[in-house]
Amino acid sequence: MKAFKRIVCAATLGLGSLLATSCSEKELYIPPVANNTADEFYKDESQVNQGVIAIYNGCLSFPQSSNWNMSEFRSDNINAQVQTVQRDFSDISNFTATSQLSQLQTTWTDLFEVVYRSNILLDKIQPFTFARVNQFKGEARFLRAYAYFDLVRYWGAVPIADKVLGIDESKRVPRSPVADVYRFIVDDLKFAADNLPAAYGSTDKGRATKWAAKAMLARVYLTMYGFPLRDASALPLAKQQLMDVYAAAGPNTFSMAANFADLFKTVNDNKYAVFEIQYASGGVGLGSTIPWDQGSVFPAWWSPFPPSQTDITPSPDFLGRNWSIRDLRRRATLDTVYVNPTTGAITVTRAQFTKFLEKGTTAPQNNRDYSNNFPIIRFEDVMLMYAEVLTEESGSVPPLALTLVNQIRTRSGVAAYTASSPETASKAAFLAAILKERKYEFAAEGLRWFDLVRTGNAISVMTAYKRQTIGSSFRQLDDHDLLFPIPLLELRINPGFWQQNPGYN
Amino acid sequence: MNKLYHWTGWLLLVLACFYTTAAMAQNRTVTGKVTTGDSKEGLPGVTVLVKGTTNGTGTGADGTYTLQVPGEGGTLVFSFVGYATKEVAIDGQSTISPVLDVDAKGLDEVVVVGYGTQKAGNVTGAVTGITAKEIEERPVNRIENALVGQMPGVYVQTPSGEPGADLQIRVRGAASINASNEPLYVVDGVPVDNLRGINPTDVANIEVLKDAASAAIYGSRGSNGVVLVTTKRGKKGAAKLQFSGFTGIQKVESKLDVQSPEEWIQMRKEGIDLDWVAQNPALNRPEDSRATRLQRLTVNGVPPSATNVIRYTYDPKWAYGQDSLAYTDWQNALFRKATMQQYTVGVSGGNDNVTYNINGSYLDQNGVVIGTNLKRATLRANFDAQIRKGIKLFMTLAPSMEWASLGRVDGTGAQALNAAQMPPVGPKEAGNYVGAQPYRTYNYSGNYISPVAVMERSDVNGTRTRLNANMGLNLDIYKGLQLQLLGAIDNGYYQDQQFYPTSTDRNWFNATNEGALSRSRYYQTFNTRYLFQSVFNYTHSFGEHHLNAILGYSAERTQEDRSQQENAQLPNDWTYLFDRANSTTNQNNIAVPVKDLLLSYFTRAQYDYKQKYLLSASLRRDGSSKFGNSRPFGYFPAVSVGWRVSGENFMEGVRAISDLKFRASYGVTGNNRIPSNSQFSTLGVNNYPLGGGTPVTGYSPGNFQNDLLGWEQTESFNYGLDFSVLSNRLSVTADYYVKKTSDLLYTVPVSSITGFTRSLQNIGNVRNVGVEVGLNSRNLVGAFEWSTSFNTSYNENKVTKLGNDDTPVPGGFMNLTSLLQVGVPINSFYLYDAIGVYKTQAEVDAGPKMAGTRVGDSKYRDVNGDGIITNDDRVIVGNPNPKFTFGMSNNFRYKDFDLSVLVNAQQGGDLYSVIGRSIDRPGMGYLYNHSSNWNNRWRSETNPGDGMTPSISATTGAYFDSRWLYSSDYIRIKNITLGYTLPKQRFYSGARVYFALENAYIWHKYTGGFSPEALQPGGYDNGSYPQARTYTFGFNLSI
Repeated sequence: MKAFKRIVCAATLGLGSLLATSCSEKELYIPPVANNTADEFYKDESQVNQGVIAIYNGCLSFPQSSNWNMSEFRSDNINAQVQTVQRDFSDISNFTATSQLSQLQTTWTDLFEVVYRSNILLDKIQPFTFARVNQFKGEARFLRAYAYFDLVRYWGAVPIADKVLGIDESKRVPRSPVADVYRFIVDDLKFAADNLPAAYGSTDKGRATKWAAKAMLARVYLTMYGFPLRDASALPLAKQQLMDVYAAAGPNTFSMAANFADLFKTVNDNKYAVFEIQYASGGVGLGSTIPWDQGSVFPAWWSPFPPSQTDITPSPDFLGRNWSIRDLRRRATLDTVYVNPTTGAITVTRAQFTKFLEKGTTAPQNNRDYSNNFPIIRFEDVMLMYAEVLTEESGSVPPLALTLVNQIRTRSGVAAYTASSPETASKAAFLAAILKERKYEFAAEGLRWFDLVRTGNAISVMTAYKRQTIGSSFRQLDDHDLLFPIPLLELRINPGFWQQNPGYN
Repeated sequence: MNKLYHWTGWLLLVLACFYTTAAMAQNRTVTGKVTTGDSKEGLPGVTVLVKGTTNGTGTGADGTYTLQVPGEGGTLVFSFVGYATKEVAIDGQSTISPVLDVDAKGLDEVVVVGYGTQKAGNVTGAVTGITAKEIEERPVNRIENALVGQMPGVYVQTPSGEPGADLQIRVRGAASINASNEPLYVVDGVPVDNLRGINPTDVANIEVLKDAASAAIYGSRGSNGVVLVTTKRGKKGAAKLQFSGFTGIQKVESKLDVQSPEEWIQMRKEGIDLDWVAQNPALNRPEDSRATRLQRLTVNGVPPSATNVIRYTYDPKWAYGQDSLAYTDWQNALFRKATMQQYTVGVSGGNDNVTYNINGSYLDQNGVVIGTNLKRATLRANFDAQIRKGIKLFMTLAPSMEWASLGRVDGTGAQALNAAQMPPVGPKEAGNYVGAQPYRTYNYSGNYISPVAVMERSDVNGTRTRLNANMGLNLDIYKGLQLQLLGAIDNGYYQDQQFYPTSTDRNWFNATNEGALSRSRYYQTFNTRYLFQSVFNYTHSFGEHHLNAILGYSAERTQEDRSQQENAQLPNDWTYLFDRANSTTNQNNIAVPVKDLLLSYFTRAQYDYKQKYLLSASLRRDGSSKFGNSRPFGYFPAVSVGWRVSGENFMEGVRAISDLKFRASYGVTGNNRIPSNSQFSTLGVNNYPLGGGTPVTGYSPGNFQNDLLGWEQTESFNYGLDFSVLSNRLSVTADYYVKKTSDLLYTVPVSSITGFTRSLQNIGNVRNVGVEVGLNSRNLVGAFEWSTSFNTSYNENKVTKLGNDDTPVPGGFMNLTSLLQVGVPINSFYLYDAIGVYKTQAEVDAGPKMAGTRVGDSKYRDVNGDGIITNDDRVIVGNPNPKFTFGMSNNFRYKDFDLSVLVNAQQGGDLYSVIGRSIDRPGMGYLYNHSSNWNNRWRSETNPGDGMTPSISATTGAYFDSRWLYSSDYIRIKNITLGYTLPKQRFYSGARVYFALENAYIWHKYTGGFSPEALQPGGYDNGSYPQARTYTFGFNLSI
């Protein structure tokens, strides 16, 4: 009997505790405590808006990873010595890049990240009908087009990801012909131009406007007109967009700054340019790295943080007598000395781009935390593209084109071109003058390489430039140098499916 | 009470043996000689005792004894460790000379098998183990260290020599890649994350469940084997005090062979000459004097800049050598002889109702790298209480603490590597502090900081607190039916504070104020694991049939909270404390809580008939919160059978074979060791400033969602054979296994066009096939004893399936050094195969080459024979998994001396030295130090060097080639211990002193790093804390 009692007692205890502590199997679903999941997101307008913000966030890396590390280094704006140590920037600059270069993978990944964030937004926004739906779609498509425009110019035929891709799906997306990629970009930008607002309220300043989309579209058309598509029908399309944007200039939209140096100050963010990447100091990862990237030596009274000291200098074209000291842009673009404000001592340094460094700034919390926005399309760019389009379509130098170029030259403190200037003697001479004006105006902004490629000057200019800076034995560049190799890892995801760009392995 | 009396009696007797001679009234004398059954030699030290009394003696050196006994009757008990105790009735005899047989131990010994125990003889799975003896008699600071080379199929690797660093245990090869390959650790029935903080001398025994049939009872965590640690529990008897300790000196086991100061200067000169000639090839010659050079560099009366002087002319101080420059061997400067000591005090005992075992220990170990040390204090208290008949309570309380100053040495950019890379020449006044405040770097070199300064000046303190506690009840419910309830917690708290003042930064001279470049970090993690488990256990015998069955349920919750604050730019360097107000936040208040749950149901039945026919079957069902919604549950069945042939009648006449057993098993296990929340597409914070610099919140998915993410499953077959011959003098265990892992968990690189670069997937299958042999032999018995235990394992690993289409998956360092490919072992190295150097231009012109190949470049094999070298010529050249591992220990005993020698070895694996990227690749320039093969580099067509080391300006520096691939074969004398057992004295019951040498010697061919074991997951070495050779003196004392 005693034994039986004990059995009952123990069994009750055992089962009781088993039940009491037994967990329901539903408890196995433990969503992450720290983060929300994508499933539970995009539920209302505010969350969709946060999804749009994330796309812009993806663009924060572009000025460094695309404009500076890829485009500017490839151009004749920078003089990078051939390094004894392997350095990605040196390989890019000196046309020795291979598919294993990690910078190529980085830029490729950064650009496609924005494509993905746009795609997921466009997917998740579908059920919604609130008023800003089209604006959000427009922003997503604008930014997707922006990323693709860089992609197609660096790598030519690239895979078109027009929706969210699964892992297996992604292995079977072919590289689309360049023309198809441009068609895709144009579609996106047209939609954006039709649906984005012309302006935003003060708290939303910095988002892409209708004018940003149209200016970008103009740049795309102008590129399609040039190498490699040489699509003549694109020229009038570019002109139409540029006319619209040019007409929309004003104190509340965008305009030419009276003073070139003002363009790059934080206080003038979103005042002059058509579209800028927005940066903010504060040590929260939203700052710009560009002053750090471009700098070589900063005295403490410029910035408390040492710059990257990348082993480069601005091109000799910008130095000595090649760039008139009277050109106000020169002082605003680069430095070759620094002056101690207390002692007045002058120290000669390696020449460095300091265009985006606001000397004496105390805002940054670290060396990658500068607040200056980075212009993607400046109004001056619209003006010069407009001048270029006008010149291209006429046989000579149209007066408006001359006016536009001279506005820029006058502001810079250099002599305006007149009817008797050699630059205005012919269409070709004037186009060359515009190209040169763009080089000075947009130095260190990442436009030069694309200008050289689309105008068909890249091979001759770069071969000559490298022979001048590296040595006369530098090889003759050819068409394959106008594209980068596809990053090796991307080729290896599905070996043999994508072919490498010619001339690379 | 009877028993207690008996025990006390025993104890007293042991003491009495040695000094009692004629204290009692004597009637008659019994004499005799005790001999061994096998060698027929006299056996010294045997305890001879009149049963039930305290009257006894011991045998002398020749095995003889003399004992006074009270009368005609009574029984003598002869006992000696390692031999079966023998009782002989006196029955009026005056000469009793018994023969003691070697203890046929093992068969009836109890083995822990997970949720229970089993007689060793009845085990049908592949289980192997070691006992306290192997652990106690050596100075080991982590339990895992005691396993090295001891067990077939259990491969223990020491990737880092850092004091207290985790060791890697691999049971039967690597079944997984990204999910952990660590076995499951179970301490006294409670699964734990690792064995950190457990004092080796607390351990009674360690068993490793190797095959799926044994491990399947641990279901989703059994794939990599299970290591069961059982700690010592109290035994009835008077309190017994154990005191042990060791103290020793550690030295670095091996160093890297880098250029000497003279060699570095020589190379630097050659670099300057090359630059000089290149400056004006028409005019300049290498033999131009300094004056000539300076004169030519002077343009229009302007003397050359300091930069150009350094670039084109020698340092005049080179002529005076050490008189004007500091020559530093940075490895000598960074490494030191370091002390190490540990002390353990334990007390155990108990009565009929309560037994206890309490052990406390303290370890103080300095690292062989300056500025590193570890202190550890542990306590473990085990209690068992019989509350009533049939109700037993047991509990364990095991707190431990570690205080350590570690880190900074292992890995890329860390100080072990820095020491190898530092130029060995510096300004005289700077000495060991070159580059560190207030000394600038040597102007003929690059920008660096002395590793000595970094280690000395940085302030890194980690404190780890662990509390391991459990309590349980054993209830006898009915005849043979028992219920065990167990509740356990394992709490860990780790706090890490790191302070790098400005003076540890190589750019210290740029600092605007004292704390400008200082960094201070505070990191803490708190993890808890709660376990509740209830197990019914039923044992029943009917006739010769024996049955044991269990049925259980367990729920395990784990939670981890991490947080981190890191600030830079402190106002000064007075203290590491920081405040948002006075510094810059790098990473502010990152808090990451993670929760997991594992629910399990399991059952097992073990049956035997006459201990001849053995059968065991088990099933477990596990549900884990780590897996996708669609697949949280898994089933893990196992079955095993055994046949003890030696128990059969027909074997009775076969005297030579004392035991023979065949085993076969099949089972399914799983692996759930992946990061929590992997199945979710979690949102990342992606803010963007709008409206003039105001951050606006943004979110986007940070990874793929994977509802289908599931277990990695391993199905395995095991066939085994145990036999002993010559009355157990030689026993052999052999196993053959096939392990097939499917649904391999792997972080696959995915095309960036998806928006992501990697994703954790169940992607493929891997097969491990292997053979293990363990052999124990008592070579010599008698006065001089010699026993050998030897084990060897062979494992072959092969990927059998990948994804839907078997597309090879890149992996390894930067995804460029290894490949996952069907038909080859996992993590196989996939590299350009360097076959030499293009010695002449003619060779370049003739041979297959890359675009841009120059003379002096590394020459790669044209694998596909298409005449040019491209990415397609990368080829599988090796793999990191050793094919064979060996372990052998030899134990010798003569009188009171014992000697043991443990050797372990491995063969057939490779490792990739990423360190080579810093000290052994072309394109590094002349500023830093190189591995010494660079003295034999290609210099010119007439001076082509060793034919393998390319030119310093070769173009292949960015490629990963087989020049850095090394064989990881080694043979190591892991341990030599010489011990002496002190004669017994009245104030202690046992005492032993020993001298031990750990890592006594190693033979290997690895020159790319400090140790051939320094393998990171994926098979590469990026510079690890070197291992130490330790000379120790230790003692064990029981009172």
